[in-house]
Amino acid sequence: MQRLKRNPDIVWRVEKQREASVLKALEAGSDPGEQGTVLLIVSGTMHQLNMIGGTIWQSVDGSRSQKQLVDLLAAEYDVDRAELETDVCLFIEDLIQRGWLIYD
Amino acid sequence: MAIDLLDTPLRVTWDLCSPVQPVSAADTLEIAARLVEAQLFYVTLERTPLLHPLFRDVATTLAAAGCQLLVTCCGSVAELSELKELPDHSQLLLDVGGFVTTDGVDFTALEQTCSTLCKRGVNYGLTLTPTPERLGMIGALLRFCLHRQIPRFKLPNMRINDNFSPTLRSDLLHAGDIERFRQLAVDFPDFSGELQLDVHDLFLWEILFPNGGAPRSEYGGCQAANSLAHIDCTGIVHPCLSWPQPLGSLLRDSFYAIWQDVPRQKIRDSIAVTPDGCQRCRDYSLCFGGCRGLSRLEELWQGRDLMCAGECKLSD
Repeated sequence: MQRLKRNPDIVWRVEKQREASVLKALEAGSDPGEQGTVLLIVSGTMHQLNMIGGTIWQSVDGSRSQKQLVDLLAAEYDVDRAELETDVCLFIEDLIQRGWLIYD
Repeated sequence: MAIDLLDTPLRVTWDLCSPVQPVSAADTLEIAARLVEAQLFYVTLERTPLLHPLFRDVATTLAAAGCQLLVTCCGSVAELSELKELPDHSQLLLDVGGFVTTDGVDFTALEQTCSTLCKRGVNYGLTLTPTPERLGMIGALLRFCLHRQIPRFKLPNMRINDNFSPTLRSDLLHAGDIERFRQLAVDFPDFSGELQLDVHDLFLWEILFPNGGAPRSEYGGCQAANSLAHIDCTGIVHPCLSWPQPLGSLLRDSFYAIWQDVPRQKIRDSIAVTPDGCQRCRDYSLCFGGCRGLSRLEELWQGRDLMCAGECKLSD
């Protein structure tokens, strides 16, 4: 089983205040927008990941397969499983192509 | 996506050496530990940091935590003798200000120092704080960087401290200087793709990057006390190098605590207000008033960027 992990050369951090504000919006049933909750520096350029992207990023620690990541998110977010699987797959493929994620 | 309400800044400048106030080794290391804890992305060590007795410890600690480390250097013999202390993945910024004479840049001396850095395998770039007098030097320095294949050239913001005297105000760039620079820039070489040019001031950046550019794609106005901060040699945090105002001490509180505290929030609240000098300006949504730190120095500007001529008012 292939496990994914973050590129160790990428420096990143979680923005606690933003995460709290997005969670609050979600709980209230409003749209939290695309506010970045995880910030990354890749080759000197800063990037932001939204809440779900950030959750995936934090979970990709070399201990899970892609399917296990979907299981984890499915338990956390109330969304259609098939849709989630497609979105996670596309997101991960994009990050692999960028070199941000690598197979362990 | 605008960058706002961060937990801690993303980039800081830190005056490692104190010209007057000695800081204990324990305190210096405590400040470094606070910066690591704050998960900063970029730290620029200022004021001859190579000459600080704990430079190696501080630099290694920050680099090991993933901070992109920039180390400024005036090119003195004493500093160059300490180059071996630079940790891997850090970059030296050679301050061209030390090579400026009454006749302009001493390119012979600059060339010699650059050769020394190359021979020692130092990853380096150039930095020059722009002043009205120095604007005319930028074109030649761009050519110098391209010729020598120097990968980075930085135009940082003006350092302001409590001792900033009125006589030094002639060093600040104003709207007239920007117009002059616009004309000079016509003859600048094409540096795209060959040189990383870091420009702090928005009005200079617009001239140097006439077609826009990725580095400013997320510009959301003055970043003082948000993604930016300055730390003086005693560990006091300020909104920015151009805005001396104590927000708290890293020897007492964490960066996170200082960033959630009232003094910092007051700075951000003041930046959120449209300055009087920017009222009814059609370009406010582009610049958001520009540099708010320097604007505090000139009352007549009513809060707008000193480099802005204020000629874009919407008619009634």
